[in-house]
Amino acid sequence: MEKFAWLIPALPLIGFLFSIFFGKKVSKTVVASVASIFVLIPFILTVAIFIPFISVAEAEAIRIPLLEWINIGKLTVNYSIQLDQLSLMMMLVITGVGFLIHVYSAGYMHDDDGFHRFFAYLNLFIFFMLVLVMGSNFLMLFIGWEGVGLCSYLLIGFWYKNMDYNKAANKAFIMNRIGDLGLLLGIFLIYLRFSSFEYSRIAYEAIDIAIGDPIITTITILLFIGAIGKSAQLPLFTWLPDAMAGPTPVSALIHAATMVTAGVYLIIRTNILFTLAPFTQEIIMFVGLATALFAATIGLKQNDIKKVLAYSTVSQLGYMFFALGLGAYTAAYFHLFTHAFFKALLFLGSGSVIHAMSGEQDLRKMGGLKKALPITHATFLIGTIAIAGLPPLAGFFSKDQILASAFAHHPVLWIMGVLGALMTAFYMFRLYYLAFHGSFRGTHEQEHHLHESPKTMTFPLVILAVMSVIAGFVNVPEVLGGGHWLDNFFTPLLAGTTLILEENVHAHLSHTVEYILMGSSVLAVLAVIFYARIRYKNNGHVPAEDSEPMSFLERLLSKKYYVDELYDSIVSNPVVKGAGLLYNYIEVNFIDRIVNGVGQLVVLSSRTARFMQTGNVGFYIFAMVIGALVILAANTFLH
Amino acid sequence: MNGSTSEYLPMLIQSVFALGFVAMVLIITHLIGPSRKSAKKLENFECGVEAKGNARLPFSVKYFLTAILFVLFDVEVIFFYPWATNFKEFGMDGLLSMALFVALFLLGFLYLRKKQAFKWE
Amino acid sequence: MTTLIFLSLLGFLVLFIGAFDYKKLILPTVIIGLIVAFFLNAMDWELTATSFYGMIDYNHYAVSFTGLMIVSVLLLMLVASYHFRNEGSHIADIYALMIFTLIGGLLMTSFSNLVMLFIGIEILSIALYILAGSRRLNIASNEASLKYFLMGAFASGFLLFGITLIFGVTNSFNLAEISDFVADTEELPTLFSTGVMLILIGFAFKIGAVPFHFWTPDVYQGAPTFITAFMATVVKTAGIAAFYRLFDSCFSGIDGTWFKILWIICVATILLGNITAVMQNESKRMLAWSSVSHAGYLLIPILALNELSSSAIFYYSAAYSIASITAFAVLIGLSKFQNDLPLDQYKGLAKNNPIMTTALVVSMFSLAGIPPLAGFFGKYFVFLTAMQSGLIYVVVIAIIGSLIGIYYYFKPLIYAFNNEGGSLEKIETNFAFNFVLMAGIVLSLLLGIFPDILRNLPG
Repeated sequence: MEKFAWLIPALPLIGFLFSIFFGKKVSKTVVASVASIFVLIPFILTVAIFIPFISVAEAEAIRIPLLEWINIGKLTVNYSIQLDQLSLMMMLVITGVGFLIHVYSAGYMHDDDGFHRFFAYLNLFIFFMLVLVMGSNFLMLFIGWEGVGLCSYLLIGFWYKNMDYNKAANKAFIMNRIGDLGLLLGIFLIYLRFSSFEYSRIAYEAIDIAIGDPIITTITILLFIGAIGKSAQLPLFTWLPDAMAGPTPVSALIHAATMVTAGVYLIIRTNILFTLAPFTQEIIMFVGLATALFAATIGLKQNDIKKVLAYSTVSQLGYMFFALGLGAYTAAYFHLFTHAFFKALLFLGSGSVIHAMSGEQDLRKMGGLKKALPITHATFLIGTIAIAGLPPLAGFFSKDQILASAFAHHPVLWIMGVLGALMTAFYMFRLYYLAFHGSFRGTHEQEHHLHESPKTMTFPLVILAVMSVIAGFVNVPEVLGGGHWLDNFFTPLLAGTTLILEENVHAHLSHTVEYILMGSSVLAVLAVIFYARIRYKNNGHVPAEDSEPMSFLERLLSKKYYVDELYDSIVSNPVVKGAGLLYNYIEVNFIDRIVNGVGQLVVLSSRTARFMQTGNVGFYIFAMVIGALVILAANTFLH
Repeated sequence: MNGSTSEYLPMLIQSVFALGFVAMVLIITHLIGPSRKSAKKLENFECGVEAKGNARLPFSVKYFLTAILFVLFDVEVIFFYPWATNFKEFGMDGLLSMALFVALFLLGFLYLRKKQAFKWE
Repeated sequence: MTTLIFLSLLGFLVLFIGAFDYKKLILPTVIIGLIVAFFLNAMDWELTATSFYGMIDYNHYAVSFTGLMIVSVLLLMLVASYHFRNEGSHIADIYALMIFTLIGGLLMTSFSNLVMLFIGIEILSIALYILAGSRRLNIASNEASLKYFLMGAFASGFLLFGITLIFGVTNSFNLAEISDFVADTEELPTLFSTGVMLILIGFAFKIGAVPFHFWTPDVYQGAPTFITAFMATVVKTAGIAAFYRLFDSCFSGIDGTWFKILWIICVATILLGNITAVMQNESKRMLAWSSVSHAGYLLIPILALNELSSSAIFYYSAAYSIASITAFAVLIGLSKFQNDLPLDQYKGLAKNNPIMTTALVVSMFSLAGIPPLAGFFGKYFVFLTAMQSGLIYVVVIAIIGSLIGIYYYFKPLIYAFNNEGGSLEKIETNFAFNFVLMAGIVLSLLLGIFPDILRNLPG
C-alpha cells in the first residue's frame, strides 16, 4: 500500500488543477464532488496504510524517496515521503476532517459566485498541508509551510471585495512571515550544524549532543518563533481572530483543525532537539500557558460567535504548547487530535448557525435557536461539553493528560491550567446558552428565515460529534482502566528523547493523586457551567451593547487588551512613519535618482543601439566584415 | 616572422608579381597605345545587336525555373564521372549506391512533374 | 542511426503527400512520423560505435540534443497547423522543409567529421532560407529570406574557409585526428588559429552573436512567426550544440586566443541583446533581441568548457526552447496573420483567454529566469558552470543582463493584465494550439521543479 503513498498529496493537487481550469465550465455539483472525492481517496489510502502500520508494535518509519530534487555539490535534497506514527496520525486528521469540511462547504458555499475558486483553494490547502506533514526533510516542510500560509491568505481574503477582509488577510500573511523568517533561519542553522535536511539524519546525530548545546538552543528558539507565527501564540496571535473573515469552513479546517497546529507538529517532529534545549522548553511552557490564559480571558467578553471560537482556538493551542514545554509531546499531540474534531465541529456548527441567521454573527442577536436547529444544537452541545473537558468526551482525556503533566512539574502550573480550563468552560457555555437558549433577539425577518441546514452540512456535524465523543479513547490513562494506546504508539517517535532523558517521558503520578486532580477539575468545571447556566439561561442575561458604558476591566477584555492598538502604535505606526521619512528624503532624493539614472542609461543606450539596425544588408555585411577583421587582427596580435 | 609564416613568402612574392604584372600592362597600354575617340569606339560592343534600354528586362519566370532545374539535373552528371571511371572497383556496392542516388533524383523529378513545374502554359 | 534515414524518408513522404493533395493526411503523418523518430532516436542511446564510416558519432550528447529538437519541431508543427488552419497551400512543403532542417540539425549535433558539420549546416540553412520566405506574397517575408540568404552564404564562406585552413594544417577532417594533432603539436601554426577564428565567426553568425547578429532582428521579424520560432529554437539549439561539440572535442587544448575573443563576443551579445530589447515596441522584434541575448548566455558554457558545460547547454537550450515556443505560440494566437504585433495589442488578454495568459506569464517568467521555472535553473546551471571555471566577471555581467531582461519580459504581461482600451476579439483556438500552450506551461514548470530529469542526459 505504501507505494501509492505519493497519490495522497497528488490527488488534491489534481483536484485543485481541475477546479481552477475547468471549474467554471462544469456544474457546482461536479466541482464539489470532484474536490471532495480527491480528498476522500487520500483518506482511504491513509487508513489503508495506517491499519497495517498499527498492527506492528513500535513500527519503523517508512521512507519513500520519490524524486531527486536538488543535487548540487554536497547538497542533495529529495522529494521523499516519511510515513511514521506522527505523519500518519496527522494525515488522518487532515484528510478525514478535510473531507468532512469539503462536504460541508458544498452546502455552505452553495450560493457563492466563487464556488469553484473556493474548492480549488481548499484542495490546494490539503495538498500543501499533506506535503508539510508527509515530507521527510525540512525543505519539504518549508514548502508545505509556505503553501498553507498562501492558501490561508487566499481564503481569508476570499471575499476580496471587502477591504477589511483583505486587511485581515494581509495581517495574517505578514505575521506569519515574521514567524517564517525564524523557521527559515532555524532550518539554515540546522543545515549548518547537521549538513542535512533529513529528519532521520538529524535525529541520529542529535543523540550524541550534550544537553544545553548553545547552537541547538538557538535552533530551537528559531523554530519556536516559526511555530509562534503559524500557531498564533503570544505575541503573534492577533492575526487568528481576524482570520475569521474567511468563510466558516475555512476557519474550521485551516484556522482550527489543521494549519494552526503545524507549529505543534514541527516541535513534536523535532522533539529530540527541544529535549536538548531545556531553556527553550521553559520559554515554550510559559508562552503556551500565558497564551492559554490570555486568550481565554479575552474570550470571556467577545460577542461575535466566531471570535469566541477563535480566541478559544488560540487558548487551546496555548495548551498544546504548554504541554510541549513540559516535554509531554504525546499529550500535546493528543490534545491536537481531539481539538481538531471538537473545534472543527464547533466552527461548522457556528457556520450552520450563521447560515440560518442569514450571515448574522453577533451573539446578542441570537437566542433560542435550539428549536429551529435541532441537529446543530445537539452536535454543538456535544462540542461544547468536549471542549469544556467533561468526561467521557474527548477534551477531558487530552486536557487531563496535560494537567497531570503540569502537576508533575509544579502544582502552581496545574492551578493555572485549571484556571484556563474553567474560563474555557465558562465562555463556551456562555456562547451556547446565548445562542441556543432564551428568546430570539434578532429581527423578525431573520426569525422567519430560520431553518436547519441542508444534509451536506449536518452530516459532517454528526460525524464530527461522534468523533468528539470517542476520540479521547485513543489514550485513556491507566487510572481509568485505559492502556495509554497513543503513548505506546508514539514510543518510537520519542525514542531519542527517552534515550537522552534516560527515563520515561510522561509523568508518573500516584493513582490517588490523579483521581483527586481529575475529580477536583471536573467538579470545578461543573460549577462554572452551572454558573453560566444561571447567568445566561435562567436570568436571561445578555451582554451589553458596545455603546453602553463598561467597567475598565470589561473594556480591557472586550478590546482584547488593546493588543492590536499596541502593535499599531509601537510597530506599525513607527514603521509607517519611518518608511515615510525614508521615502520622502532618502528614497526620492537619492535612491530614486540612482535607480532612475540607471534605467535611463539603459533606455538611452537601447535607443542608440537601435539605430545600428538600419535594415540595409550592405551595411550589415560591412559590419560583419569589420567584425571579422577585428577578430582576425586580434588573433594575430594576442597570439 | 616565425617558421610557418615564412613558408608562405613565395606566395606573397607570387601575388605581388601577379598584381604588379596586371597593373604594369594596364598602365603601359594606356601610355603607349594609340587612342582614337569616336562615338563608335566608345560603345561597349563594336558589333552584334545594338544594346539599348535597361538591362533589367523582365523575362518569364518559367524560363528561369526551367533553367535552374536544368542546371540542377545537369550537375548531377558530375557525380557519375568518378563512379564511372572506377565502375569495376566499386562493384555491387557502388552500383547500389548509385541506384539510390539516381532514385532520389528521380523522386525529385516526379515531385516536380506533379507540381507541374515543367508545364509551360 | 536509423533516425537520420527515417527522417529523410519522412521528408520525402510528406512532400509527395502534399504533391498528391491528400490534405488530411499531412498533419497526422508528420506527427506520427516525428513521434516514431523520437523513439528511434531514443533507441540509439546505447549506441557506442560511430556510424557511416566514422562520419557520425551518435553519442549521448547527440541523442539528447536530437530528442530536444524533435520535441521542439513537433510542438512547432502543431503551432503551424493552427497557423495554417484556414489556408492549405504549400503546407506540406513547409512541413517537409522543417523536417529537412531537422535533419541538418541532427547532423550538426552528431558530426565527427568537419565535412559532415558543413553539410549539416548547409542542409539546415538552405531549407531555412526558403522557409523564411514561405509567405511568398508578403514583401517582408521575401526581404527576410533574401537577407538571410545573402548573409548566410557569406557566413558559410567564413566557416568553409576555416575548415579548409584546419584541414590544411592537420591534413584531416576527422575530429579525433584533429584533436590528436593539437595534442601532439608543440607550437601550432598561425594558420590553425586563424582557421579556428574563422569557424568561430561562422558559428557566431549562425547563432546570431554580436557582431554577427545584424540579420537576426530583421529576419526574425520578416519571416512568418512560426518560422521565427523555429529559427529561435531548433536552429539556435543546433548551432550551439555544434559549436560546443567542435570546440570541446578539438580546440579545448589550444591556448586562449579564441577564449579571449569569445569572451568579448559573449559579453557583448548578452549586453547588446538585452539593452536593445528594452526599447522595442513590437513583440516579435523584442523576442528577436531576447533571442540574441540568450545566444550570449548559451555561449557561457562554451567559454567555461568544463565537465558541467554540456549539461548546462542542454538544459538551457531545453528551457529556452520550450519557453520561446510557448511565447511565440501566444504571439501567433494573437496576431492572426499580421506580421507585426505592437505590444499594446496584448491588452485585455487576461480577461479574454486565461490559458493563453497563463502560457504568456509562464514563458515570460521562464525567459526572464524567475524561479521555480525552467529558465531560472537554466541560468543557474550556466552560471554554476561559469563559476566552476572562475569566470566571475562573465557571471556578473550576465546577471546584470538578466536584470535588464526582466524589464522587457514584463512589458507584455503588464499589457495583458491591463484591460483599459483593449479591443481584443475572441481568439479562435483549436486543440493543437491549446495543447502546445499546456505542454509549454507544464514542461516549464516540470523542468523547473525537477531539473535533474534532463540535466544529466548529455553526460
